[in-house]
This record gives sequence, structure tokens and C-alpha cells, in this order.
Amino acid sequence: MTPGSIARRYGRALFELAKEAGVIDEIGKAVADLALIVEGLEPGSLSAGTIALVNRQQLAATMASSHGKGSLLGRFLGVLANNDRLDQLPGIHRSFERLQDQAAGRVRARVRSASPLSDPERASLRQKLETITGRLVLDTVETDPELLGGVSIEAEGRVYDGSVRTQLTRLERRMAG
Amino acid sequence: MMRISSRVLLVLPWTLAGAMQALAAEHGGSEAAHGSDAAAWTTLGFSFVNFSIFLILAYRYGWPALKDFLATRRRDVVDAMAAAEAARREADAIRAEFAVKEAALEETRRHLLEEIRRGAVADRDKALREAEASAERLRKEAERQAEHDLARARRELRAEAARLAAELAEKDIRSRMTDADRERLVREFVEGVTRQ
Repeated sequence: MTPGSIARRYGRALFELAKEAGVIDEIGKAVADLALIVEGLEPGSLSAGTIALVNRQQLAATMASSHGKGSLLGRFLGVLANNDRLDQLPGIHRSFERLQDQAAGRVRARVRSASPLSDPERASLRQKLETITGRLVLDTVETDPELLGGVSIEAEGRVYDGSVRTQLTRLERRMAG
Repeated sequence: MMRISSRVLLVLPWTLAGAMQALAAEHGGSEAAHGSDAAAWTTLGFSFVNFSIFLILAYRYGWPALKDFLATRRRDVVDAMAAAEAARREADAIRAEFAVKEAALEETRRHLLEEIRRGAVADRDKALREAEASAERLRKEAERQAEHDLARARRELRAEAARLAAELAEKDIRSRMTDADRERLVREFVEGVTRQ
């Protein structure tokens, strides 16, 4: 089983439990904060080879301190600590967030453009994406001069690419045969 | 050899001695003046007797040994000649056998030489065929390699030309791109994008 699929299973399980408990947003925010912390650590620094089980359990209890040890998040972190899966928190967060967006009818989009987009351009892009996906779009915009011109969007695992860079690359490949 | 009686041999010296004495006495009577001649005859007679005795003794005791020696010698010579004859016959047989073997050996030698020659010819032909096949393989491999290298060189040239063209195009785009172009590109993307 790959780390990605493990994280998806844990994320789905946590989402289902949070949904039952009616604490999706609260758990989502807490998991996002914890994932941010874990992402800042050295890879493998939370694994069994580095930290003993007792210390991992203690760490999980500390992480869940604001929610209480007996809370859903506390129990979930305890399970992660026991199963040596604390380092999967970023992946669990992404899985949870995707399910959360699906449940809320939202879709996240990463927009890259060669030059900063004006507000009307960004609004028209968002509107277009909402038309295409049929869901509310939460977009993040980045400027990437390497695109030369145009826009590239990643949403729902798809890429909508209208950049000059991509067209130039395709042209180069066609010429190279 | 004629066999002479022993008695004859024993009597013969004395008879001869008597005859010699009688002859000496006859000479002594008629020629008394010649006393020295009588003594000479007597001496001769006794010498004759002595010699006869010697002959008798030699015949009596030496002849059987000599005869045995000669008979033994004869048998030995006969045996030796028979052995030599047998050895000669055996040698002839061996020579004949060897002649047969030599003839067979010559045939075997010829046969072996022929086989060796045939084997050498076969080996040579096989080596020739293998060399030709190897040369053909090498030629085809060289052709394939040359074609491969040529195709790769063409690909690399095309790729390099495409890369240079793209590089030039990028420079040209960067120098010519205006804000209006960027806005148009975004607008066209928004208008044209569909669910893929």
C-alpha cells in the first residue's frame, strides 16, 4: 500500500467520523494546522525509527490538547501515533480537504498566469471554472513569467492549459518529430 | 670309419718288431762290418713299436672320446643348423607377417590420410562458411548501426533545430509581448476553455 493511498484511507475515515459528529470544519482546520506543522519537519522525524511509541503517543496528546484527549481529533491522533502514521498528516489533510470540498460543493483551483491577473480577469476565470465544474471555485493565483503568456489552471486533478509556454513546447516537439 | 680289432692292434706292433729284428739280423749276418747300421734298424724298430703302442693307446683311449666329441659336435652342429633353419623359417614367417602388416599399414595410412584430407577440407569449408556468415552478420550489424547512428543524428539535428527555433521564438515573444497581448491571451483562454 502506497503512502498516498494510506493517507486517503485515513482522511476518508476521519471525514466520515467528523461528518457524523458534525465537526467537519473544526476538524478540517485543526488537521490543516497540524499538517502545516508536520510539513515543516524533517522527513521521517515522526516515524518509529526516530521516536518511541510512548513519545509518539505523548506528542499526539499534545497535538490534540486544545481539543481534549477524548475528542475525535485526540483519538484519531492516538491511532496515528500507535500505527506510526503521524507523518501522513499532510496527505490526510489533503484527502480530508478534498472530501470536505466535495461535501460543500466546492472545488479548489490553482491558477498560474504569466503576469498578474486583474480582478475582472480573475473573476471571469473563476466564473468560467464554476460553469465547467458546476461547483463553487476556491482559487489561488500565482504569477509565473516562464509561462510567457496566457493561463494554466489545475483543478480536480485536471490541467486547463492556455499558456504560450505549453504551445511553444508542443511546437518544438512537433518540429523535432 | 673302419673298425679295427683290438687284438690285431695288440699283435701288430710285436709282429712288426719281430720283422724288424729279423731284418736287422739279416743285415747283421751279411754285413757284419756294418754294425752301426744294425743298431739303427733296431732303434727304428723300437721307435716303430713305440709309435705303434702310442697309436694303439691313442686308439684305445683317445678315439672313443674323440669319436664322442665329434658325434656330439656333429649333433650340436646339426641341432644348431636345425635351430637356425627354424629361426630362419620363423623369421621368414615374421617377415611375411610384417609384409602383410606393412601392406595393411600402408592401406591404413592411405585411409587415414584420406580421412584427414576430407576432414581438413570439411573444416576449411565450414570455417569458410562461418567466416562468410560472420562477415555477413558484421556487415548487416554495421549497416544497422550506421542507420541507427544516422537516424539518431537526424533526430538530434531536428531536436536541436527545434530547440533553437523555440528559443528564438521565445526571445521574439518576450520582446514583442505587450500587456494587450497578455490580456488578449487570458481573454481568449477564458472564452475557449472547456471541460477536457
